[in-house]
Amino acid sequence: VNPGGACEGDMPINARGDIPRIGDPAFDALLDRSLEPEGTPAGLRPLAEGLAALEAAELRSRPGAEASALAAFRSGVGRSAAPARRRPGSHPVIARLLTARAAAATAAAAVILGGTAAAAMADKLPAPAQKVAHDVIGAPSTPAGHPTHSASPQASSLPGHSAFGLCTAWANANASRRRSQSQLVLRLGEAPGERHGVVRPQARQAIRRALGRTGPPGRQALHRALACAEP
Amino acid sequence: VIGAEFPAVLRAAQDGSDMAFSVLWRDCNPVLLRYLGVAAPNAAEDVAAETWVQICRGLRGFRGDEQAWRSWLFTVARRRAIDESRRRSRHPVSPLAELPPEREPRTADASVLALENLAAEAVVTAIRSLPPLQAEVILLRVVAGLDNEAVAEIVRRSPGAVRVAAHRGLRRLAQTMSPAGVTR
Repeated sequence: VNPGGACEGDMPINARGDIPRIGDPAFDALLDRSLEPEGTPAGLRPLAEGLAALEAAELRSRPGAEASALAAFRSGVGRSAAPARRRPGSHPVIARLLTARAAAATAAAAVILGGTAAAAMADKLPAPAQKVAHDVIGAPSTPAGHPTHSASPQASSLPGHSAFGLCTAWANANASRRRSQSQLVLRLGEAPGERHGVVRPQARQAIRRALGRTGPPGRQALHRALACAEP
Repeated sequence: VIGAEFPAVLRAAQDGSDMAFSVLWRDCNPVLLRYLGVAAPNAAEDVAAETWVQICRGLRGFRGDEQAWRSWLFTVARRRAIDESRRRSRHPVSPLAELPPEREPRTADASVLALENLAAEAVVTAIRSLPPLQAEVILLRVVAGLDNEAVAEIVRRSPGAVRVAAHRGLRRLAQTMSPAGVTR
């Protein structure tokens, strides 16, 4: 409270003598980060300290974000290269049709489903997951008769068609931004024990949603995946 | 900021080097998230991922220095944030029935991790309370490290208008954060 009986916090901004007026070079110095908090006018010091803390504070990305970006980088840079440099077996038509959002989601799908997108690119995923990765990010396709790898926990614990159905459900849930559903579909594929837990109804919901958007060949796989999620 | 090595890093990334791209990503993604935390609340990570997808597509054709690189990155991010905002207004998201906390899938929550620093949290909260233009120009100037002209180009205002908006925002922040401010 000042000598006149008014509370400083209630005073209009222009009446606060310790805060510079608009146009004051101190603001430019703050914006240019050319002024240390100690050198700022008293009224701006808490703000200067806050901005310094904001600049210094580490903001971590969610797990897998860098791997997703790298997958997008590999597919994006490869797609803009000359056709002769394209990897044999890549799928430029599908890649071109993908929207930015779908590309991000499917790149993330490839990363999570196989552990890393590198696994997809190195053709190290189980056959069903490799097929999805092949379709969506242009990873090498698995030739007929190629033995199924056991790198992915999803496919190692489920029959191939069911794993493919789960992949489709996952991609669908992820593209629809149903993050909790997509996580649950993943967990359904990860551990057989989880199929009997709370995961199951949510996963069923995700798979049913995928059914409505999938053509006949995918539907069969989804039905098999759904069977895994049924009681 | 990468600094003097930026041209070499960019060239290597344009030639397809994963490592070089990672350097670019690690340098910019934290500030991108910080900006999107205000420009696209609740969708910052998704919009950042979409931004990088678009950046990857145009990376080979990009020419410019580090300031131009950041300007391009934040221009793309801003457009994606606007698209996301329109999409959400057309298709509001209805929350699913929530799982009990003990059954929720465990992933690190970037927004929670980001708020570990209480001083930074206070500033972010205060910035969010500003009018959108003021908040945006302050983040682009202070967090993204762009100059006034670059920010003016991104937000499509005159440099003078950007400077005034930034000053107004800072002045309001100073009032909020000072010991005599209304929030303490």
